[in-house]
Amino acid sequence: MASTLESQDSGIVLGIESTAHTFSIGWVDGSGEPSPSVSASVTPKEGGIHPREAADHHVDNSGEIVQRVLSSPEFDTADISAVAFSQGPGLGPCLRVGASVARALAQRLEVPLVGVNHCVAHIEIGRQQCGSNDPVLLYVSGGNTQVISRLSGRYRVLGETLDIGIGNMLDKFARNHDIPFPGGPRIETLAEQWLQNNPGASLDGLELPYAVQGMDLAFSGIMTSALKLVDGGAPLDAVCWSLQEHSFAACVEVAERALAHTGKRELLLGGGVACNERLRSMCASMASERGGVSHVPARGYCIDNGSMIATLGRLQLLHGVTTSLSASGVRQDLRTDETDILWV
Amino acid sequence: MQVWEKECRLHVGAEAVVDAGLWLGRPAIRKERRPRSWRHPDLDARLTKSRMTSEARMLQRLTIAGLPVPHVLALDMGSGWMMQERRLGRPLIECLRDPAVAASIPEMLAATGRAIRNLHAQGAAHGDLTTNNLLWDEDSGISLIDFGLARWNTEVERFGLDLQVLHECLSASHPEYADAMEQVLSGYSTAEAAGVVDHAAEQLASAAQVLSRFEQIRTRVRYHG
Ligand SMILES: Nc1ncnc2c1ncn2[C@@H]1O[C@H](COP(=O)(O)OP(=O)(O)O)[C@@H](O)[C@H]1O
Ligand SMILES: [Mg+2]
Repeated sequence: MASTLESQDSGIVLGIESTAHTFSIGWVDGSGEPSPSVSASVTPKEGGIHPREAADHHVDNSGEIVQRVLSSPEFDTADISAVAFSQGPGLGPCLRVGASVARALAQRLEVPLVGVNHCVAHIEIGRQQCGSNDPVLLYVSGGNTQVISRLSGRYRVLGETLDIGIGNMLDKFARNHDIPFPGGPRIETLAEQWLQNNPGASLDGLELPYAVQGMDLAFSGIMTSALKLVDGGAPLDAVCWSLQEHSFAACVEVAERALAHTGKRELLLGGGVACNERLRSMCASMASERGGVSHVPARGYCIDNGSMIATLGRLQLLHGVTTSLSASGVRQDLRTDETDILWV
Repeated sequence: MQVWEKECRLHVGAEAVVDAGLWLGRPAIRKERRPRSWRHPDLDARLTKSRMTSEARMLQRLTIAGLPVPHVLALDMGSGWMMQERRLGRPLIECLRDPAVAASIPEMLAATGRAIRNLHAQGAAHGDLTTNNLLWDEDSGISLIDFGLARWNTEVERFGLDLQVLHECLSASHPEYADAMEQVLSGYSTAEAAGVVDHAAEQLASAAQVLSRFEQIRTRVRYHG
């Protein structure tokens, strides 16, 4: 990130995230240093996230969050130079809430609007936080499971889930066993508990499918089989452990294939599931065995957050890539490889 | 007598270390499965065993059927290595970046499509069709390698996924060839449907059915909040 443009003082850039269950606003200072975001997340009810209910939640919370950020003692609103927002990909109704808050703020502050790609923002905050230059990103969140890397000036999706995101898979499994949302952390605790009570535990009798297809993945088969194991009498904590061992190994394998395929050495984790310690340690040993490194940003910058939107928005602003009002409509299917990477 | 003379290391892959050398004097490659320490040993052993066995079986049957795949020369399941005939050529990922072979690219892509169709016509899906796993030689043409994730399968979905994996790889790693996949697909649909094996003949999806499933997969793989 050494080019002169990126080291220029950009002024304060605000970032608004609202692709799925989280509404969040964060900001970066003139040198690109982010501050923790102010966020509110909706808890999905039975049957997963409802786009319109989530959007209602975002509307209900947006006023207070805008006020808290704009009254922050750490900057003067006169120093705000741009308002960035997640333009996609994501759930239409949720995206529209963030976009309209962004438009209103930009107009009021008389500063440019910068529409950014949510997935690319996960990469840029990770690069910024971890000092990582040219990583392969393993992006593991509720709705997304992808391996992404920069090739020919764009971030390209090398592999992805062919059915559901790994986070959604964990949450659905959890919900079937009355574990409240988000299920991931509780599954992690149960898995640890099983291992503590059964050191050196074997996977005998706890085998699950392992769906790797090239650099693509699939998770619904793993989940169905895990549910069957519990129904068949296997202890819940044992199945949680096996579920993690199988599904994370598949993610790490795909990440390793992407490293081997691209010849890169740095792995970067992003998305809410990247908070999981077992996944982190698998990634760390995979990377170090290959003579590389694995980076994970702090939790607040792994989960969906406004600061990452501000980070990418600032880069685009410095390179003159802003968004006119007429082009600021949301893009549910915005592709990762549509963003021109001008800053590396 | 030296049975195996190693010449050089070809590749440290996600799963295997591949060396080139001579096996009983013949050009060969030695593929050794690497234990993955980050994976639970039970899972690792299960995957290593099933992938090596299935690769060897698959190559043996496909060789008999006349497909451009390496012969299996030797196998040691206990220590986890396999010796294969060394095929001529370089991985497509390199060829597509080498200006010296630019003139051959249309034929390379069409031949890739035909080879994939011929594989599918045997009732086999490759499972890992990246540009690293296709070799191109100006004289002998395309070879298919790396069958660790391959399966005997006649489901149209598996064949469509093979095309999806290659499509994703071509558009990510070789975006400068915007119509590369179209050329592969046209090769796929024009392949001679020769040498179809009995067990697959009846339920086998036609090239057109596979192409339409591939189109469905292409649009299905998108964000699903
Ligand atoms: N039979 C072969 N003939 C020539 N080269 C080969 C052969 N098998 C593998 N290679 C080379 O080694 C590389 C890795 O081998 P592969 O079987 O794909 O292992 P991996 O599972 O690690 O990807 C290939 O991309 C190719 O360059
Ligand atoms: Mg390979």
